[in-house]
Amino acid sequence: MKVIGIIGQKAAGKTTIAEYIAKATGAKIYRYAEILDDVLNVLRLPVTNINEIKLVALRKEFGENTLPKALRKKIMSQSGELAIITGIRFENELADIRSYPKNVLLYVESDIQLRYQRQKLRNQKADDQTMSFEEFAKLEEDSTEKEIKALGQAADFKIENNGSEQQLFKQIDAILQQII
Amino acid sequence: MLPLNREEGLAQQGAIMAKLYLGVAGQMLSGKDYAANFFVQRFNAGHLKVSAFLDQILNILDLEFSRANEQKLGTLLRDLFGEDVMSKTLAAEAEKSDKPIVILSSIRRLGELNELKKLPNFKLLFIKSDEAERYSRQENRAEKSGEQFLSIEEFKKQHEHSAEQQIDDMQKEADFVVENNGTIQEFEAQLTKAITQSL
Repeated sequence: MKVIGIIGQKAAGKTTIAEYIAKATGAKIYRYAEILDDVLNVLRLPVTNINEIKLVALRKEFGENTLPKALRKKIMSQSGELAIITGIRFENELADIRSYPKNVLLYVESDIQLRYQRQKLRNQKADDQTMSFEEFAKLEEDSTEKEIKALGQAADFKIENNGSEQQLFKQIDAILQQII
Repeated sequence: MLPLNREEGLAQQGAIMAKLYLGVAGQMLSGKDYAANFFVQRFNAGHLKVSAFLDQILNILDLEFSRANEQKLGTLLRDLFGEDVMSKTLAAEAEKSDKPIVILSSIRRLGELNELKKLPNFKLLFIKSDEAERYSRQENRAEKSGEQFLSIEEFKKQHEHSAEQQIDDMQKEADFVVENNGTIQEFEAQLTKAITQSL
């Protein structure tokens, strides 16, 4: 079992990369927070940001590694040779990626102006379209976002996503050739 | 009395055959699971329990199915999403069941009970059993891990947990109170009486 971990700031291109690798290799895509969604589904509660954030309390009650441990179980029961875990945000999640016998860590970087434009276009969350650039930049000062940048320094491969999609995919192809 | 017309007759028949939701409450090891299984086997009832949802979640989280974990998780979820979060899930599942009788067990809070009372034709059965009796049962039961070797002091202490405390208050809300201190036959006879009175 090999795991490819993807780290990157908001709208850096994590999902695009994950989906591209998934298509090329047949691997499944996971994220740590999906465990929270699985719990919400048992309770028939709506999967919203607020409910996900509430459930983060599970970490406090059952330990910091609750989500990585749970996700590992899920991956082991579902996946074949290769799995992709995206949206790594904490030190212990990075350590979890590293604890898989075979693992590769990718860090995707992209200029803040570009990421701001992408977020505005994708409209994933309620305030995506109305947020000003200043507000977006201010959110980057948030400790979690800062940590993402720091975690990225530990990656095996750095991908730059400031150009076209073709340029992005070319970089990924080169990486895949090395690791698979 | 005037004879019933067809609609009234059907309505009355419907009322007689209305699905029964029977809540089963009682202290730890009072015989709730025994009662539920008895109803399942003898009265073709369906059986849903709050702890089954907790176990589903513990399974997702790769945590042990122990009573301690169930209590921790249950308390946390109720704190986060409200006292009635588990019973809402339970009620929704119960309504989906096609069994004529649905047993709802491991109800531990008055808040949960209030949610279940919203189900049409809901009755609550409370099982009473002496502490000494319950303690001797726990020595024989290995259903839940970590439960095997409790001392009487530990056993009493567990009762002080918030999940167990409100159970005593539930007796006042019960439609039927049965005692489980004697033989199985006596217990089953009381259960049969309670359920036939509800149908």
